[in-house]
Amino acid sequence: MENYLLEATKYTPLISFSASQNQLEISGESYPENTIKFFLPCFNWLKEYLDLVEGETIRLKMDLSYFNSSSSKVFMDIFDLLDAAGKENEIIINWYYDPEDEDSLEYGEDFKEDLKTVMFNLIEK
Amino acid sequence: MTHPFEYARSLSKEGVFINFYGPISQSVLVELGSILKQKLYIENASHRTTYRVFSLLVEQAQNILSYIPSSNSQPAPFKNAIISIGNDKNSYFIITSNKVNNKDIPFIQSKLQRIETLSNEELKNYHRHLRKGMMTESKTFNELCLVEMAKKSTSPLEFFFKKADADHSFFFLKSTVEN
Repeated sequence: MENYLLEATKYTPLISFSASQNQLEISGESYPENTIKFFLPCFNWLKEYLDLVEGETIRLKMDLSYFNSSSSKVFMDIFDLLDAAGKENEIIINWYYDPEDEDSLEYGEDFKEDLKTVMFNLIEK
Repeated sequence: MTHPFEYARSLSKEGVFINFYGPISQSVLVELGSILKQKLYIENASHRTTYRVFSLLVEQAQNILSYIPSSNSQPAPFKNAIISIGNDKNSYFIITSNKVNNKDIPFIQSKLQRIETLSNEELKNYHRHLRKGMMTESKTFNELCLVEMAKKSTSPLEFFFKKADADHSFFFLKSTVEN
C-alpha cells in the first residue's frame, strides 16, 4: 500500500501516513475551509490501511499548534477508527500539547476519555 | 459619505484595531489571523489569550463562510461580512456580522439560546456529544462551531438580528476574551 503524504500549508496540517512503518502523523495548524473535503482522502486511506493490518503496533503522532472545531470532529472520527482497530493491533496515540495552552491539554484529556482500546499519551512539548 | 479617516477614528474610539468589511474568503481569514497574532505578540498578550482570540476569529469567520442559506435563496457570488477585533480595558472582543435568510433565524437563535443556558461543564459535554458520530451534515459543524465559541469566550456570546429587507437580516455576534 502506498504511503499518504500531504505537505502543510498556513492553515492545513502535514499529514504523513506510512503503511510500511505503521507510523502516522498529523502536525501543524488545522483550519481548512472545508474540513470534510480536506480530510476525506486521508480518512479513506486510513480505513483501507486498517482493514489490512493485524497484530501490528501503530503509532499516531498528533502535534497541532492550532485546530478549529470541525477539525476536532474529524480527529475524533480518526481516533474512533483507530479505537475499533485496537482489538487486533496495539495502537498508540501521542498527543503533544504546549504547557501554556490549557485548551490543547483539555482537548487531549477529552479525547482520551472517549477511547477504549488505544493507548493515548499526553506529552508536554 | 463619512470620510474614511473619520470612520477609522470612530472605530478606533471604540477600541477596534482590525476592521474588515467586504467579500470574505478563507485567504482573507488567514491574513487577518496572521496580523492579529503579530499584533497580540507585540502587545505581550499571553499565549492563552492569543490562542483564544485567534480561535474565536477563525470560528466566527468560518461560521459565516460555511453558512448555507435555506432553500429559495439565490446563491450569492460573494459572502459579505463585517469583522471587527478590538480591545477595551481588560479584554479583547471579536464582532462579526453577515446577512442571513430570515427563515434561518429561528434555528440559529434556538441554538444560541440553548448554549446560553449551559454551564461550562455542560458546554464541554455538549461539545463531546456533537463530536461523536461520523462526519455528517454541515449543520452539526455549524452547531459545533457555536459551542466552541461559547467555550472560548470568557463572557456569554452576545447576539442580535437586525432586519435588512423582507427576506434577510443582519446577524451580529460578539465574543470576548479577558486578558
